[in-house]
Amino acid sequence: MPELYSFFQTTFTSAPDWLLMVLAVVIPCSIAFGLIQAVAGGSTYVERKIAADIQRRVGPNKCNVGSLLGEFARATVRNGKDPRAGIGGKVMALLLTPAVPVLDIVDKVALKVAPGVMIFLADGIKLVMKEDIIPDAVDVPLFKIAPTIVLASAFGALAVLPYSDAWYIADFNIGIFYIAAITSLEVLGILMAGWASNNKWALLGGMRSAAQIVSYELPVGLAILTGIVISGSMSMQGITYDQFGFAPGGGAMAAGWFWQWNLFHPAMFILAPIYFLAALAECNRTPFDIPEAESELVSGYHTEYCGMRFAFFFMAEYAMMCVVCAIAVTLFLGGWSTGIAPFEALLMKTLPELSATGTLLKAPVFHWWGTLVHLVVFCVKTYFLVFIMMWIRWTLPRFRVDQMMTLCWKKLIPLSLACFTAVAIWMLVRQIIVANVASGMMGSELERMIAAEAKLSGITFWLRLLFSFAILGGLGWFFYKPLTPQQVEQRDMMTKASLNAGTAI
Amino acid sequence: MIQFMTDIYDGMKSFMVGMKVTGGYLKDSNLHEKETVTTVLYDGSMTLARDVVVADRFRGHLHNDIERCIVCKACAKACPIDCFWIDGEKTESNKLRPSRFDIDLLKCMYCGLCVFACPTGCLTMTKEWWGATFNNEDGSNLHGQIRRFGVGFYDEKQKGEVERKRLEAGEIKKKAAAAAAAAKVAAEAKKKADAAAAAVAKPPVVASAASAAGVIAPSAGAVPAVPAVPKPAAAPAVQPATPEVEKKTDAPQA
Repeated sequence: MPELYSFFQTTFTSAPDWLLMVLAVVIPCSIAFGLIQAVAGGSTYVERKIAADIQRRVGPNKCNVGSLLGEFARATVRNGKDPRAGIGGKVMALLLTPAVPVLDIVDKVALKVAPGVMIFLADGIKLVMKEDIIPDAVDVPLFKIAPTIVLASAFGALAVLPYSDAWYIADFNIGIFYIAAITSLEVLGILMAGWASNNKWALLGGMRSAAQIVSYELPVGLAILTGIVISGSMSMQGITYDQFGFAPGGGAMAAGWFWQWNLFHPAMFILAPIYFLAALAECNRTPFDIPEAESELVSGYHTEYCGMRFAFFFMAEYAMMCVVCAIAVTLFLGGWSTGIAPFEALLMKTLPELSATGTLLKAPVFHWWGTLVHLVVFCVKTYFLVFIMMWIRWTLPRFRVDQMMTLCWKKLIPLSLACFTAVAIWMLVRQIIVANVASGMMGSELERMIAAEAKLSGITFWLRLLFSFAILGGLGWFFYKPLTPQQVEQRDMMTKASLNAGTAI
Repeated sequence: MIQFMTDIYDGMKSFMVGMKVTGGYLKDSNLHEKETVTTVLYDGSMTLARDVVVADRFRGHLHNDIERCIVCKACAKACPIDCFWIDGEKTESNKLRPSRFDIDLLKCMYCGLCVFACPTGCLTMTKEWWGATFNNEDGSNLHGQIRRFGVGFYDEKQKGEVERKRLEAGEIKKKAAAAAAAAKVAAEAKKKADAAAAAVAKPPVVASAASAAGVIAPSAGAVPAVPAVPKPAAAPAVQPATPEVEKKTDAPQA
């Protein structure tokens, strides 16, 4: 994190440089590590609530703030009053006494807004307290190391995510390549878990997962590759800045509109759903959760795991969801940018320096509150995609293995390959067009090139604007248009069937 | 090629419509809150699992009324996983009676087929299912039950030895506990005595072959000083092969 590093350098002048460098990496890493655990835990609650809402169930509603934290605080205060209480107990009681009324108020609010919100904390405590059972017949070293590898591969990717313009952990010039490399380690851990468990269901789950992840790496890789070709950079920050759409003669006001995001590039618009579907498969989420298909394999590759080792797999799944969605945000949705050019200009402390042809020489510097806004925007965008993943989970049923493979090899890969080829060819053709346009202009060669670039980027600016509005309008129209009578009839028929079955839907 | 594109279009369209349907439910979830269908909604009460009233046809641990058993081995034949071990011997009146009737509780899956097969109706399924305990020493945990009733982990010799060791350890502890409790009782005599009497008056837990009811009854902790924990009416887990062990097991309770 460059800002923290420079802050350390100015504050602790006598400390050795390497120590500051290590600290500047370790501190944000541990913050991200802790936060992502909380997010992963909270996501389980959110997911269960969304599931309940979609299926018209009640969902988790019993474990509230008052019944978990409140009871704990009250019991501590009560024990502190006991004459036999030790000094530690008394101090704890003294500290928690003011917390009791606060927790009561929080409980009242939480009951209205999010009943049962503490269930993830209770789940976490339960998983930590559980006995760590290692079956006799397993391959012990592999069995023990597998969840760690899965978790490490998901968490390793957190290091290079572009959380904000200045507040990030690291920014490699091969950032997205590093992510693709380290997240593909996950399949190793999953296969290891399946093999070491010495259980036929676990083995089948591991094998299925390996086949699935290796297959779906290809469309993901092609989508990422196309993004790299368009952006001309493998650094996550570079890809984000490219989607600002800096152009010669454009000025600060023209840079940062949301239609400059890669999503509204025609090829990337096709690749975005492809990437998203393939990413779903890579996280083993429904409809691609055949590695842990409950109705066929007991629980897939983590059948034999319990306690904290199981929690590792669980946390890795949710961390992986966040990582994959963060990549999608960076590649397609303009990373941390808000998408409104005047607002972005407001947040800037210094304007960007551009070369004559419009490449970014020096990135703009933002105010600290601008950086904060970007951080929030990035998190909101990422979590919105995670929400869509959950939404899909409760919409689509599970694919069969052959359907899953057909979708990947016969549909997604040809499409993404076609998009990639088209973009690569367009990059060549664009140069020819620029040269042709420039040849018809006046002035020196450099001036003509600049003018041609400006003209072309001006045209693409307006074309993209039209394209983005058409797409957003279409989506809005589709989702706000009421269902046709036929669709309503179909839906009600299924609802009634499940109501008549007498089960909780 | 056209087929390829139509497939993709159809897939995307049906997917979007599906998202719209579920999204509609998600959006209206607050409106439908009163319509949510629940079979049983947990009311938040904190009753212990032990006290849950099980259904009428609940299949718990097996119990054999050993006096009526005719050693026909129909149960062993009916058992899909062969968890019975039955030996018979002749009595003076030239009738068969079981010298050994063991069920491996680790294997048993509580299917109840043996009960249907039993011609005399002496093999029944109780509603007893609790295998957990707060005390690992006195043999009331699941291991103890298995040792007492089924083949479990041990052959006969090991079984007797382990049982004896456990009992010795348990006896020492129990004596100490009993002494402490006795002192306590003496201090606050009357009130405690009433409570103890009430506890004794409690109906004994369904006599199960697999559980020494006196030991695992929930009142066991509350009335350690009361000497006469009611013995179950039907004899538990007949273990003719190791009668001494069986006796010893009962000794601390009595």
